[in-house]
Amino acid sequence: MLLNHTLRLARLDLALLTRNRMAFFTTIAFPLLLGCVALLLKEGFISGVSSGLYILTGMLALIGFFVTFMHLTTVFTVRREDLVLKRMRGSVLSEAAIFGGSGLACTIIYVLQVAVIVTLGIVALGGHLPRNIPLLFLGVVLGSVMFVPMAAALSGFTKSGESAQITVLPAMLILATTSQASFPLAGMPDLVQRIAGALPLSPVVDVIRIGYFGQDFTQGAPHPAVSFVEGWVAAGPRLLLIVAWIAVGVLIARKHFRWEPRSS
Amino acid sequence: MISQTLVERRQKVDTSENAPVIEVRGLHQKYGDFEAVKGISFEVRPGELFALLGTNGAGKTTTIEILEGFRAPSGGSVRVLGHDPFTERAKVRPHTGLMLQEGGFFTDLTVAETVRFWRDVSPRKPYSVAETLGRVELEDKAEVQVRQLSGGQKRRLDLALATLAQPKVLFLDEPTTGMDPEARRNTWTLIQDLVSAGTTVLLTTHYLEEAERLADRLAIMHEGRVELAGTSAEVVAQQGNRIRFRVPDALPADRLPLLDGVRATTELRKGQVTAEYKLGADPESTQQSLAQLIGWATHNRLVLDRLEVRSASLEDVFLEVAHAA
Repeated sequence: MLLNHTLRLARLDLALLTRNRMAFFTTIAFPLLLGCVALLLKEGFISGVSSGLYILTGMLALIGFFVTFMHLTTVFTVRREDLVLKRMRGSVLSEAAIFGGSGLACTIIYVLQVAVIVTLGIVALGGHLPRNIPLLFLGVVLGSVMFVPMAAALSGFTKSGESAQITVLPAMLILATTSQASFPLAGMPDLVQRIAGALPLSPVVDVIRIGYFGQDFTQGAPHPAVSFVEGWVAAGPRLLLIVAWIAVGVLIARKHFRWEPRSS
Repeated sequence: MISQTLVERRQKVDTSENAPVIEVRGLHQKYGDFEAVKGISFEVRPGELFALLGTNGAGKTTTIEILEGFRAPSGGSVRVLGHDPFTERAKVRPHTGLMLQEGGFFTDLTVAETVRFWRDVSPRKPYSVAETLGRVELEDKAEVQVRQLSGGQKRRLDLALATLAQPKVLFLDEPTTGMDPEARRNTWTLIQDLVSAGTTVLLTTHYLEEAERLADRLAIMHEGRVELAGTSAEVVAQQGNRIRFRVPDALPADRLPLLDGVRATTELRKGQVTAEYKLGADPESTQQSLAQLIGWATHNRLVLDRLEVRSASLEDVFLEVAHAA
């Protein structure tokens, strides 16, 4: 029952993506565009790897912010204001299916985007297949899962679909600059690096880079090469941090998510 | 035809020994300092249609939404099919259908897609998508986007969704608001068919005709309390009979006689003064009062234009309750 409902809701959400211009832009057009930016960087090195691939792998993490977090913040807000969430909650659909269905649809899109961008990297940047595909996959999926309760929580502070673009902005600025998705923080003071490294998107970036390059990005450049198994060991603490953020997100969502508009 | 099925239904309801489908005991609901519902109790028995009537802000929607399981009550208890609808939602939801007061649609979907989705996740699928639309006469709107439907058409779609799983209990919050008269009548027929088939219905409405026509029993709410409850005949009977006529020109209102000790109230409407006596419910004393009035008029050589005698309508009762505060 739960599985059927989740899959059916995910199918519905995927169908709706193509009908709404804003949703299409946030989840499909813009992330692809971000991925393509990396393709312009054909020369030079960042943090010991080619700049194009460094940015490309950073974008693999960052697009999850748009595909899952920004999109779902809008979806949850609009559905709450349209009383769709209320109708869902008054139906046989469980809360797990409601969040799971929307989360699954975003995660599917996100994984497909990652596959496309990695392929573009191979074709246009001389990139390679990820050294540890399961680890990269897990990083992408956990990153997406993490953004689901966070989007639910933020929707509680968002009045309308339009204002979601404003409420996600602070998070976007902070996460984009602290996660090392597009530039390393190696020169920054130690304390800044520690704080930045603990924020939600940073471990996603690290796990994806470990998975892609087969190098330990939790250590300073030049990042030591790691075997398949060593990659998992190196990524372990970062995966745990993502799980911790999922737990934090769930707690915040429990407090701030709303099923109905405030007025009713 | 309809009255016959109503009688049969009453018998079925009255002889039933089943536990009530809906139980409300001492229900209170507070929003901050505002108490929307101030301790109400009622029961709805299997196969019964119970209507909650009331002015805006009477607490009808709050009550129905607690029964639908959207929030826990601040005080008292509610049971639907023997379960708490808020804490035991998984046990209750498969057997309930509900129609919210408004909205709740994916506006980018077509009508058919909407039905298909809700049908797919429904625990029972007694009707095809086409049949579901046919029941509310929306077949020709199947490919139309939900956002393009009129208010009344949206209500019909809502009713189709509420009933597509053949629920045991149906909650209808102002089901016919915004419908044209024909759609309203069709909706009433559909609701009556559902009740005839054994569905228990709790309905809120502003339309007294709707309650009078559909409800086995009803309760009139005002400012968070149930002021009157019973069958519509019982509720109306408490209000007694009325005699009205136009006061003949140039007759001072204070010359109108007392009937059964009751003084007439007068009202100026379109330049004409109308007198009304609110009498008791006993038909015999009403008849005597009428004879007395006609005797008085004959004696005084007066003609009582637009003379009417009638029992109180639900509307009279409703207005009485609404203006009592």
